[in-house]
Amino acid sequence: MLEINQVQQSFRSGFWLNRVEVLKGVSFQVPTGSIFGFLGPNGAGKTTLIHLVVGMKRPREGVVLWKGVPTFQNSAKSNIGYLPERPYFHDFLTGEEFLVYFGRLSGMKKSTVLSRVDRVLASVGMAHARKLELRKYSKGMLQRIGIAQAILHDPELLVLDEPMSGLDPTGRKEIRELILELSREGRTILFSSHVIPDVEAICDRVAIIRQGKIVDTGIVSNFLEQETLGVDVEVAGLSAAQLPRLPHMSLVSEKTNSVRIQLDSRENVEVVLRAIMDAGGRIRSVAPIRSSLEERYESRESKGK
Amino acid sequence: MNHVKAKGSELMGIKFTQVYAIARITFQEILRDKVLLNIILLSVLLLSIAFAASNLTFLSPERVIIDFGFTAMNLSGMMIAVFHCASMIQKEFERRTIFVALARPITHFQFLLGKLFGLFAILLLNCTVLAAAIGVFYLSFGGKLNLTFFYGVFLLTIQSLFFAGLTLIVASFSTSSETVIIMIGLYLVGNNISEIDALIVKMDPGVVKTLLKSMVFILPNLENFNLGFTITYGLPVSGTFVLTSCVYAILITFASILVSSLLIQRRE
Repeated sequence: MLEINQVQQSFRSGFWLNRVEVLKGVSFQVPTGSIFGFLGPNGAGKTTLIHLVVGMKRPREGVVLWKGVPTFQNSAKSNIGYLPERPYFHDFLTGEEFLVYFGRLSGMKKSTVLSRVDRVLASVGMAHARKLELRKYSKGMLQRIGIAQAILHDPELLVLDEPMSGLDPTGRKEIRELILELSREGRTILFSSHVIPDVEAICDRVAIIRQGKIVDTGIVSNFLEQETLGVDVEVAGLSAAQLPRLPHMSLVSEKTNSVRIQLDSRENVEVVLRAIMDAGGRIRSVAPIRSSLEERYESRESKGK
Repeated sequence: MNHVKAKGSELMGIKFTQVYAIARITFQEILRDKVLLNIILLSVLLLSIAFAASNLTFLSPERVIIDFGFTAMNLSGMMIAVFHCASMIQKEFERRTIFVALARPITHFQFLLGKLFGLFAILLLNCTVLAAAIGVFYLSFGGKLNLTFFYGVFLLTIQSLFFAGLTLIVASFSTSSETVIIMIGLYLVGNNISEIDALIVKMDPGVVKTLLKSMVFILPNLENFNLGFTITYGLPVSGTFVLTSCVYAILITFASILVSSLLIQRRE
């Protein structure tokens, strides 16, 4: 389990080197094997926290532990894979040379690295680009090779900073599938993103950070179930004028052979449906309206302002 | 899931597998840089001038070759050290490559040591190629290679490393252009420490004299590496002088890496 406990971090800025607080007592846990999404606006402290998680820095206060070991210690670092946001890699290297470099940086023997390269390239779908220079790679390919270097030393924790940044929809979909595949291999994945639907689609847990504080955290499905905004009903066989007038019900749209209505809560569904059927209407669909993660995020954002 | 245990030869907690990996990539990167190509072109130009000047001289043309040749070696070594070291760390931050590297089980010190070793390999290559060219010209003009020549080449190579270490410190807290300006100033002063010493002797006691004395103590003394007329005239050089200069350079370089790694940690 990754534990982030009461973490505070600051840096000095300006002529008088005033201390600027970036993280203010951040605490949350990432259970082993989960895909954890990390959301927040620019400057919220996401990358600073990620730097602490991958052990690049020590927190000024608090602890970041992976399986009980502080992440800045080498024993923890060698079990963490990291892909930075919009990374630049040495573009004169081929895919294989690039992986050998990062394998050696992890302290792996060259023979061990070479034996892992095939498997890792295959798992990110880049076996064909082994001998190709990185300068000839597309953005999506660079992101994939970046993930390949992150999993080369077979880490249990994978930290991805904006892995879908700058990718087209196809590229994003491919990276999403790759993350799911890596999760199925048993890895714990922590990733930050601005693309909320991506987080919603693949994460089982999420944390929202704003101005250095965690404002919300939990299981994504719970997030979505907590707030059912109403019920959407499609009715055929009645025009809008023929619909029974009932409280808590509003008309959304009218088409040639159907109307869509919306109920403001789940409690009145049975009463409304019976009234519609009694009036001669046929029920085509009934669907609960839930807040998306994006709406939840936006509501948190607006509350914070 | 099996994660890889860090392995490799180790000295004082420094894993050389990782240092070697960084050094190698740095070497490859500098080798591809256009700045290096320009510096090499400048050295070739200086050597060509040396060759032309030797042909125009009636007496001891081989000494002209040695003078110009070692000046070219000195300047090119200093330029490679300053220009590459000044931008090396800045580039690492801009490209975020430093973050991926430091997320691995390595320290800032190891990272900088690797970068400096990579640069040193380039300096060594530069000095070897230039020394070979100077040697060939020198022999063709009837000169005879002696131990002083090789000591001279060795000391200039070590001087470039020493200067690269100092540049690393300045680059840790300033921009690339500021670093270049500061280091050119240090190079000029460092090569004229004996002039400042001579000035101090002539001065009356006072604040300025104390200030100059402290400056001489603090500033890098590049005269420890420049044999000057000793090479031109092929005079003998004591092994102790070479050894002392070498130890001075290595100690200051290691101290520079240590200070730079602390400064870079703060900068992050």
